[in-house]
Amino acid sequence: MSEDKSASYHRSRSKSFKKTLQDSFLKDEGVVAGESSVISQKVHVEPPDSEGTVYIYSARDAGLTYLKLIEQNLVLHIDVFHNPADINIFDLADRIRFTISNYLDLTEDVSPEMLPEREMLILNLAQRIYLKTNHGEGTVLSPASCPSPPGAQLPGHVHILAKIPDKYYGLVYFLVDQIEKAISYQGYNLRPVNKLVPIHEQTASEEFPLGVPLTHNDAESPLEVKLQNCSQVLVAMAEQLGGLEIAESFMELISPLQTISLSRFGKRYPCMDKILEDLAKLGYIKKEAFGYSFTNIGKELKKFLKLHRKELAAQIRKAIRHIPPSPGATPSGHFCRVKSHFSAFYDKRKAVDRDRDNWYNPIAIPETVIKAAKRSILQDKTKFEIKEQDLMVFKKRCKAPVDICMVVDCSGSMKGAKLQAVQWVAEYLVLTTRDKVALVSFQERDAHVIVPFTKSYTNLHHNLLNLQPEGLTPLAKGLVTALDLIAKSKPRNPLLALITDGKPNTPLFSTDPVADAIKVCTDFPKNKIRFIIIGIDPSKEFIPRLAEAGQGNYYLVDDIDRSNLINIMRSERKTSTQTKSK
Amino acid sequence: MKSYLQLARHEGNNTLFETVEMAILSSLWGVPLHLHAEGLRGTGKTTIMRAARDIFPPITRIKGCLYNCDPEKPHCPFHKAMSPQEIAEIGSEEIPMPFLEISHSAKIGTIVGSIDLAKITDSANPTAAILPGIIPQAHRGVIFIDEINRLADTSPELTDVLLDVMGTKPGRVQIEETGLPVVEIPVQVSVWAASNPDEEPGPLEETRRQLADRFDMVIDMGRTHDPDSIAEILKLNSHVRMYEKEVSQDYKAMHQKARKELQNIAARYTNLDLPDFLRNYIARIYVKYDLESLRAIEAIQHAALLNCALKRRDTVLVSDITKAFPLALRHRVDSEILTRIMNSAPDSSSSAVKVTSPFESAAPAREPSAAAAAAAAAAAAQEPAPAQAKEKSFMSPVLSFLGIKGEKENHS
Ligand SMILES: [Zn+2]
Repeated sequence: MSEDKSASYHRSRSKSFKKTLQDSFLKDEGVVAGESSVISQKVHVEPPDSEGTVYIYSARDAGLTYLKLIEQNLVLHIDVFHNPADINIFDLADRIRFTISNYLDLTEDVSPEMLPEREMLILNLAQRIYLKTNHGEGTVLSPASCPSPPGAQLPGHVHILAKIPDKYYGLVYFLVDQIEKAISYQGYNLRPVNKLVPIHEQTASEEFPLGVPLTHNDAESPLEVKLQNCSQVLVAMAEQLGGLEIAESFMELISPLQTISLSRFGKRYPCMDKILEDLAKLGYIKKEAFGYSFTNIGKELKKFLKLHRKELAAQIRKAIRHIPPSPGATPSGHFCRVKSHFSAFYDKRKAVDRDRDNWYNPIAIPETVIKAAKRSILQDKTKFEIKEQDLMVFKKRCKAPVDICMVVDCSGSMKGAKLQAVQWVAEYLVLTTRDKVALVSFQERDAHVIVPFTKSYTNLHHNLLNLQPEGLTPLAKGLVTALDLIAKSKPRNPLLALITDGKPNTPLFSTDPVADAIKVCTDFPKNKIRFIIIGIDPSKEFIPRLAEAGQGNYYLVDDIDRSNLINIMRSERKTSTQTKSK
Repeated sequence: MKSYLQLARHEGNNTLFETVEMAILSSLWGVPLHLHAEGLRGTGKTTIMRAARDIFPPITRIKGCLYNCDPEKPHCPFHKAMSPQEIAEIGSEEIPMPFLEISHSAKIGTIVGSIDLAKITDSANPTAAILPGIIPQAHRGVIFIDEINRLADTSPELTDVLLDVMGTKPGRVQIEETGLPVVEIPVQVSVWAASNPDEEPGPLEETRRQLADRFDMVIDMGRTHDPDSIAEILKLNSHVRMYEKEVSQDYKAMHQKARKELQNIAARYTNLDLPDFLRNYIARIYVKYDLESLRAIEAIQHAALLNCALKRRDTVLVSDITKAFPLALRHRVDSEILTRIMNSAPDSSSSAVKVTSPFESAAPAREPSAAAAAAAAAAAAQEPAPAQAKEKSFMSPVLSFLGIKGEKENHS
């Protein structure tokens, strides 16, 4: 090949190489080049015993990871793999400087008066390329010998970070070639790469302990970030434990002197171990010989809670109101709804003029007749007739609040997330509606009114803290207690919601606990109590029978969780206030 | 009523002081900035916002123009068609930057404008003219609405008006009066609002999402528990009682000084801009976290510039953006997402980050070595002073003159 031909060949190769790089970078991919080089803008590593395979982490930017640059996709990451060896860095740097110069000669026409500027450009590019081998590291302009400690494993690649503008990406074509040559000339073998495997890491939020990324929670973080992290951690803890008060008393137990109390606490709140683990990951606590203790930032966290209790409580209420209604989602599992009687939805005492918005409501006959009669008199009509304008309809009771009595199984099996979800939903209902909420628990051999009908969040929340699941399932007793409460409190449009995860096993009247419960349910319709059951019932037997007896809807769910409960309660509230019939 | 400078600053309310100052600066730049202070009772949000008037710089308007026409770009129905000569003949006047409040009993006509009864009943020369309402009269200034959540709930018409006023910058307001053609007037008004999200009908972002999104920044108010701050509040109060007259003279001069200072800053930093890499950083946040509102990132950018100017810095830093995140995003994303976004900023104090000179080095921050450290040091020499050095807001000298500790570091 003549000199000219060779130049134009390399020029076009370099150009198409640049295009290849740019195309694959757009797809967050890398390129295998030469014999044993990998180029990307990401982190890529060679797994142990790779046999020519390199992993590329498409979500980890090289500039961000290695150089802490804010802007991504600025840095080329080039690895040239070789058998473990001490690669001379000065030789590499010399060759690269030489390559830059050749590359510019080849691709840019330089008039003599531009020469000083070209020299500057070479220096600039050289300064932007950083090299690391086992022998040393530094920019191409200022490499430094920096032997690794004796006994350290020899790295098997030359690591290069190049922060060069993309118009110079064609340089990489020559760079890779030159480095591979250098390794060979220094007497070492290249290790061929034949496969680049993309690794997609999960970035789901669940990965973050208590919702806080691990990366920057250190002493140098800006104040705003630290405060945000504190409140995030505390709110997450309160959410998992069921209240800020509980989180606070939990934090009091984090001390080597309280190990026994802490483990007792853990029995009651199974999620504690995970919280401890997360707190440790975030550096708020550390494990010592005799138990956990707070670090300095942990002490700050504790102080933050003391100082910002009110604000945090407000934030938790906000979070409760925010429980995603998951639009369109339906509760998982089986359920059955009985037909509702339309009369429940109209106020028979209030009739209004029929208009565009209420034309489908039932017609109020007496009121319509009276109105027509009045009009006839006023208009001096001798004949009585009803015209369209006379029609009156019953008013919908859409604004009527529904008072909800939740009857909750607090036997041992409900401990943890299930009961947590119930509490959360009770609080949600109080915060987001005008309804009153009451809660009756049944456990062991007894049932208790935990919360009488209330609209006060504080009231509800404080009473709910007393909920302590254990023991057996005296369902019938629970229903009777709820019935008494409703009879006593005279709520508006009472809705009794039974939430249970198991068959009753403690009878009330007879020896058959299921029959006893069914007997109580038959009283609901005549007391005008709407009845629903949300529960887990593997036999799919006793809940439907109960619902039938109480003429209510039932929902057999796979799990008692927030989204199930909320979706059901929301739709049940709606049917209590609106009509389905035309 | 206490002067703006008399109000004690502490970690719970300092952000509101700062954003209020940002908003005043923004007004001087001709960009309305809509603020919403949310907080429990007794956090002093309305007091601070109302008192901010004390340091409002003056504006120049065409003499007597109720719409506050800028003599250089008149916009009102009377002046917009006039020639510069005609306007010069009318003359101009300086008035304090307007601060008008919308009360809950205000009629919509009072707020936007209505037919001018005085003119129509003038027997000598009856004319049908529009009397501008509170909003057009607050042009180039601020309207303040307390308990915005309740007002938005009870008055849908007002919500619609606000959506128009805050929808674009500048916004617009339509005055409709039967028998007269609809008049649409551009208004450059910052809306400042306050609410207690814990009271009926709940947080604005839940009851009126669209309106909530119109607010550029939401300030989360806290109280102070720091005994020093509380003692300071007490001291200030007794001080006022004992030397009321003298002190108020003092404060008048200080207000004047603060106004001048804000005008100086506005003039000096009018061309401040975000470096590309920070703009890209914000843009990436927008894409990565799938933020719904473009307003959010506009607010982040604008707030960062304002914060930088108030700190009298020529270069916008990562820390300016970190500061803007909670303000611009708290009402727009989940708290957990906000936490993630705030932690996404690379450590603003680390050196290799914000170098933009052509000769910057690619020295790694992770694997320190002599060479790398030297390169980093060389790079550091070319960049502005580190962000984390304790910065003073423009108010600091004023406050320290009065013996008030401004901007306390939080629970250190
Ligand atoms: Zn005018």
